[in-house]
Amino acid sequence: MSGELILAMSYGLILVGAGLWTWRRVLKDYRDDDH
Amino acid sequence: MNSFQAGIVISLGCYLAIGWYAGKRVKHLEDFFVAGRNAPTVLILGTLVASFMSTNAFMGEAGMSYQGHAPLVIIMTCFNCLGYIVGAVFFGRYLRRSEALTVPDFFRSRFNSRRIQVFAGVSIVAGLSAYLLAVTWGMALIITEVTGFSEVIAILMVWVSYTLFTLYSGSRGVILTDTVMFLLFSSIIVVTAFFIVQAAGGWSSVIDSLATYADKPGIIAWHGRVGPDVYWQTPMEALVWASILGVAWGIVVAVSPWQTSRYLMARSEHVVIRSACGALIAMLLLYLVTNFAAATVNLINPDISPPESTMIWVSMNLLPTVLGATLICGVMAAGLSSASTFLSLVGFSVSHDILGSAEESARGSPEAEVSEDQLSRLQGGRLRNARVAMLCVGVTVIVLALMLPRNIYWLTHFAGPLFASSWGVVAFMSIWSRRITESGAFWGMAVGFAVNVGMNALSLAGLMEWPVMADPILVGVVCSYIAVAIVSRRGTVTATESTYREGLHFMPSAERDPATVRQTLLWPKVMVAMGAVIAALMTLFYALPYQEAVAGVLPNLAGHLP
Repeated sequence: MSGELILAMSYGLILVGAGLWTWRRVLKDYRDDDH
Repeated sequence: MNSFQAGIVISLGCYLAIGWYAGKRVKHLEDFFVAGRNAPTVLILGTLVASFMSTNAFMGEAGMSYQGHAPLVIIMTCFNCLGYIVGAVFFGRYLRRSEALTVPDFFRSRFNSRRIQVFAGVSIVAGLSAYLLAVTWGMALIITEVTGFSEVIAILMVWVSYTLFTLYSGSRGVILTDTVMFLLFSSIIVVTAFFIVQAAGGWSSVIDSLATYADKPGIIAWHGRVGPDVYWQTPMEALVWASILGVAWGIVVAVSPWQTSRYLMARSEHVVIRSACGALIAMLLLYLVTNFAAATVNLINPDISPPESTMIWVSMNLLPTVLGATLICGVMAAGLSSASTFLSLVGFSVSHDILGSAEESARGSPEAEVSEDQLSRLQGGRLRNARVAMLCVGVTVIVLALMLPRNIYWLTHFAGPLFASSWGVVAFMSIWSRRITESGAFWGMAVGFAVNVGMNALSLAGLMEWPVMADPILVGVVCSYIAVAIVSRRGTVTATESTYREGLHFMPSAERDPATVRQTLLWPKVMVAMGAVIAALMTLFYALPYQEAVAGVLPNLAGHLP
């Protein structure tokens, strides 16, 4: 896999990863009834 | 008056009008300092991005990309943008929950310490005044280049415009003008990128030509230009440099006062999280477009000097006149939005954190014990004091701007990261550590500040050249943490500090409203979708065509070998 391909994928996947993490965090912090 | 002069004068007039409109609604101290704590997502998102992206993004970093290092700027952006999410989730929403007027005010409440508030206030005055100077000079430079006005006139024009609307309208005006400016520079840079690519022969031709660009080899390779002619000798060295600086600036994004103070104005915690998600998306897109466009300009004119004026050259020589004038206004807007935020924060810190008395700072007093009339008079007096302090700061800045030698690059790279070193550890530990004491926090801030300033001073004096791994920002952060750990271990956390910290972790029931939570969850979903689209588009329109172009050249080169 070339460096350019890794750069291209990483640039988008950073956003995907951050989105998934934020989604879980919002659910955990604001919907968790045990909190 | 030519189009560029007219564009600048009209845009400055518009910002003043918006500031005047917003200023009419400023009645209380909270309106002036934190925009009434009622700002919606779009305004917080706009001010987050506009405050961060100054003239440096469209001049310094665009110039770096023009010289062949766009991929490094892109890699740095990957890391530093994550600071938005980390900052909002682990610090920003708790900061908002504290209902402080300023970030130093939060530190005072959290550690029940006036000296921490004063120290944090002084570091804002030192760091952001320096940054404000750099941005003022940057904007004046643009005006002199495109209008022919003298430098003194340009500095005065810039100063008068941002000082007037900030002075009158405070944060209420700043977030409104920031958002208008954010929309202006975002839209014009996309249009500009389209014109640049068209002028260079269309996208596939651009990728082909840049992939095999002989004058600046590797200009769009994943590591950019490396070798004996540039600072980075190998691809790995370039990657390490971009990653470390990216992480360092990520801490700046997460805790710096000109970013986190925006969260104090948010209508709710959900607005904090949504605007951070939006800022992450906007920054990733804007940096991608701006820096690839700047690299592409090489195919149209490879001899722009200095490289920092790449976008100015584009506005004056490539774009139709109206669009060129709009691009200049957009770059100016990026600078003005940062300048107004810096001026307001420095003014707030002088009036509230440094000169304000401990009683004034303390929540609930003296307002709690006075009648409505007295309260109104008291608020009016404090509002007036804040404006006078801001004017004094503004006058100081204009005197310094006219007298000091210009050093935009150094000031920008000194002032911004200062807060990461000084505040980074203390900010996160103030929320998440049970063991951090008042003394630990104070000395952590002081040591981070001193190490950063000391290392930068040695570097500026030419006495030391720090390796990338020992970047002053990161060394400052590590030293700050060590100081917090050592000093906190020798003291005890008071009941007041402990109770305050526990209070920050108590979530208001209004934040759990299911409809609001559903709305917030839309933002991460958009992030996931956008991320997938960006990865696919960059693969299809950058990585694969790049590989094909490079592979096409290799056989030709092989044919020329003996």
